[in-house]
Parts: sequence; C-alpha cells; structure tokens
Amino acid sequence: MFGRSATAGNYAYATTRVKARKSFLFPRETYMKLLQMSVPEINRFIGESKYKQEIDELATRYDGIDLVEYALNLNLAREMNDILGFCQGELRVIMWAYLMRWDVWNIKSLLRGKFYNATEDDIRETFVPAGSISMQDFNDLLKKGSVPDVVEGLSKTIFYKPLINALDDFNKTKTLAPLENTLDLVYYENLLSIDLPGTKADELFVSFIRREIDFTNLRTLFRLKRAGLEHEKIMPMLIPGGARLNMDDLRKLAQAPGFDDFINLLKEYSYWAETAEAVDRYRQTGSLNAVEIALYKDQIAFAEKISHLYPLSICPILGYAIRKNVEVNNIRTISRGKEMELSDEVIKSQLVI
Amino acid sequence: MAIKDNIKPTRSELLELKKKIVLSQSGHKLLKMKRDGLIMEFFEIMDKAKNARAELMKSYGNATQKIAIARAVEGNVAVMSAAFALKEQPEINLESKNVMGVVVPKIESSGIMKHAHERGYGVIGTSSRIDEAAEAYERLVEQIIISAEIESAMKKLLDDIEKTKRRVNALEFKVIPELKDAEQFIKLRLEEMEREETFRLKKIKA
Repeated sequence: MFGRSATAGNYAYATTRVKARKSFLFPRETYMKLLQMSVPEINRFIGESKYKQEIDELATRYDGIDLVEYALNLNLAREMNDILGFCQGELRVIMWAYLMRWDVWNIKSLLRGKFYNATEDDIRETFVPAGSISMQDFNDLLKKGSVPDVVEGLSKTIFYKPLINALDDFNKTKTLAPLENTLDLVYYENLLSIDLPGTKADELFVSFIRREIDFTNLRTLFRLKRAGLEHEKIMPMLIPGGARLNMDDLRKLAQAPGFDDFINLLKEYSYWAETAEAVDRYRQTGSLNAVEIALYKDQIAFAEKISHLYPLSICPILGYAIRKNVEVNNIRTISRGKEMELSDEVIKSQLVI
Repeated sequence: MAIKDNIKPTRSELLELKKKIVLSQSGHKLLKMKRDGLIMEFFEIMDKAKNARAELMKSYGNATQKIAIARAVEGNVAVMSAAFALKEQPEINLESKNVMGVVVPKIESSGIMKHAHERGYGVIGTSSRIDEAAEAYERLVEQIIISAEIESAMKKLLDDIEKTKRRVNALEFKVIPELKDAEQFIKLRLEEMEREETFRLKKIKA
C-alpha cells in the first residue's frame, strides 16, 4: 500500500523536535519516587506534570485512577498525532504505518463492543485516538449495527479485504479471534511491505519490526503451547517475517508435543538467552508474565540502542514513540498497582525502566 | 390443652391411644435415627464445605491479584475491551439429589474453563496477563459453583436437622408423655367406673 514517497523525509527537523520532546520524558528516578507515593499523591503529581492539560480536560468525566489512565492515553494519542504532524515525506509514511497499531487497537475495540452489544459510550471509552483513522470515522463506525457492518465500513482501509475473507471464520466460530488475528497479521504485513530507501538506519528499523514479530510469535507460542494447542491450529496465528525465527523454526517449535518439549527446543535458539531466567521464574510461579516482560524489555532495549546510532533517521523518532509508550505504561502500572494494593515489589517487576 | 382434657374414657379410646403410643414411640425412634444420621452427614459435608470455602478464598485472592496485574500493566481499557470479546455464557444445570430424605441441589456447569484461543479475543494482539486473569476468574466461578452446591446442601441439612430435632423433642417431651398421661387417665377412670358399677350392683342386691 505504501510505496516510497516522492519526497524524502524532513529528518533533521523531525529528529530535532523529537530530541527536545525526549528531554521531557520522566527519568528512572521519577518512577522510584512515584513508587513511594500514595494514590492521592500520585494523582496530584500527575495532575501537576506535563499531563496537566489532559487531566484538566477530563476531570469532569472521570476521577481517581481512571482519570489518570484516560489522561495518559489522551496525552499519548496527542503526542503521536503531533509526531505524525511534523513528519513529512517518506518519514511520515513510515510513522503512519507504524502508528496504525492504534487503528488496529481501535478497530478491535469497536468489533468487540459491537459483538457484545456494548453501548456507544462504553465502546468510545476504549478508543485511543493515536492512529491514522480519525475519531470522526470511528464515530461513524460506532453507528453501525453489527460486526459485518463495521467491516463494511472499513472499505477504504487496508484491512477491508482481509477482514471480509475472515468473516467466514467469524461466522463459523462465532468468536472475534479470526478477525482480530487478521488485523494483526495485516498490520505487520503492511509494515514490512513499505518501500524504504535502504539506508543502514532503515535496515535497523526493519530489524526492529522483525524482532517485534519474533517477540509476538514467541509470546503466542508460549501461551498456546501451555494451553496444549495442536500445531495446525497454532500456525495461522504466527506472523511471517521474524528476524531470528522464520516460519520453519516456528513450525518446529509449534510441533513440540508438550510445553516442556517446546522449552527444550527453544534452548536451541538465540532467544533462549533472553528468556532462560524468566522461564525459571515461570516454573516457580506458573505465570508467563515474567517471560513476556523479559522479551518486552529486550525489545525496548534494542529500540533504545538503535535510536542513538543514526541521529538523522527514523530510529530516534521510533525510539521516542516507544519510550513515550513505555512511560505511559509505567505510570499506569504504578498508579493502578497502588490502587489495587499490589506490593511495591510486584509493581516494580512489571515496570520497564 | 392436654390430650386427656378432650378425651372420652372408653375402652375403644384406650385401644386407640395405645396404638398412638406405639406409633409415636416407633416414630420417635426413627426420627432420632434420622437426626443422628443427618448430623453425621452434616459433619461430613461441613469438612467438604470448609475445604471448598478455603479453595474459594484462595481462588478469589489469586483472581484479584491477576486482574490487578492485568489492569495495571495492560490498562483498564484493554481489560474492558478484551472482556467485550466473549459473549458466550457458561451453562449451569441445576438438579437435585436425596440425602437421607433431604432434597439438596446438585449443580453442574459446563463451558467455564476455556483455552486462550477460545476466549473470543485474538491471541496475537493480547498478552498472557489477560489470559491469566481470565483463567483465574474461570477457576473462581467453578469454585463458586462447587461451594454453592456444598454450602446450600449444608444449609438444607442444617434446617432439616433442626426440624427433626424439634419433632424428636416434641414426641419425647410432649406427645408421648401426654398420650401416656391420657392412657393412665382412661385406665384409672375405667377402673373407677368398674368400682362404681360393682358398688351399684351390691347396693341394688342389698
């Protein structure tokens, strides 16, 4: 869908603006400080920080930690829209395709809401307006009556044809899983199909996306092998185009007879180094959370590394978008964790710092 | 009002009363046996209920922890959105079974525990935290159903023990003594009538 743009990107301008914004990100110490605070103190701290505008805007509709969460989401959405706004040429094309993950998120929320017959207000609350499809378009889609109607309403997007093909499976299984999986597959397929100039920085960007595909595939494999699913059912849920795990590797891992066999097989691959410790923790706790966090931290560390390598490229912009997302996730984790009375140790283990 | 206040002192009444006393005594014996049996059954169920309640509390604690982590890391919005993806309701069948004459409920459920790929949402775009929260709540619902069956059986048994105990006590301390009093009263009255009759006959002869 996205061919190379006629104009080259405004890398110097965009990366300078992103660099300035990066300096406003919370440092590690802020999270440690937040961890020591009570829920009202966190609310006040966030309300007096760079999230003040969003907190003030939403204060009439929400309160407590819900207010913090919605304000964080709104701030993230605005930040992403700002980035898209000052990126031009091929840079804008790349960021547009990358930020389509929020379109995927919003379409999924919309489909789920329509499937469940949730109210328009309830569905609207789950939107994060950070993608390429405008909120006006989503408001129009909200008026559609059913899941197939929503799919019809997406006719101007890249998701339309694959979703139409997946509707048969949706009708057979009566679950949204085929549609949701299709959205994710199309997202990555589209991202990998962008025609990039082929500089070293572009290669790093592609390798970041491919690593993200590996991370997503490994997460899917861990979950489905633990659930004891047969490999024929796992394969359609794996995304082609990974960096270190191609489809043959994934098939081999999916064909492992049991979860322990899968773990033993995984030891032959390079990702074992990143996951070994977390797998030990899984064996103690029975939760895959540690494995996911280990993989996610590794992915974030890679994004951070490449963002410093080529200052005038897509990498610093991507690095900032990811760090901003991590900041929002960390603040939400601390504030929600405190509200839900999770121990500091548990909250800390979920943070990416 | 005591039975004897309402009774006619006749031989047929006496026979009727004797039958009633025998019936009440055998009823009393049977009800005592039922009460003891129910108490034994109750203690057995109480142990099960204690274990089920402990399991329920454990499952609840676990589910609360898992949903807290999911809501913290994924966000409330993500958890709410994932929850919309499942429309199917678990099926719960309510039958009844008989424990020593007490009808107690038997609850059977299906379709509660699901695999990660059966919960409606797509696996690719969600995390294990959502899976684990959903799984913990599925276990909790199962445990609630088990506890509901055991605890409602326990409550019904307790009600029935109470009822049987009242009946046993009523028979032992009220019905049987009163019937015996009435029997004694008729016996004395009949003897008295016999003596009066003898006296009257003697008086006529004289």
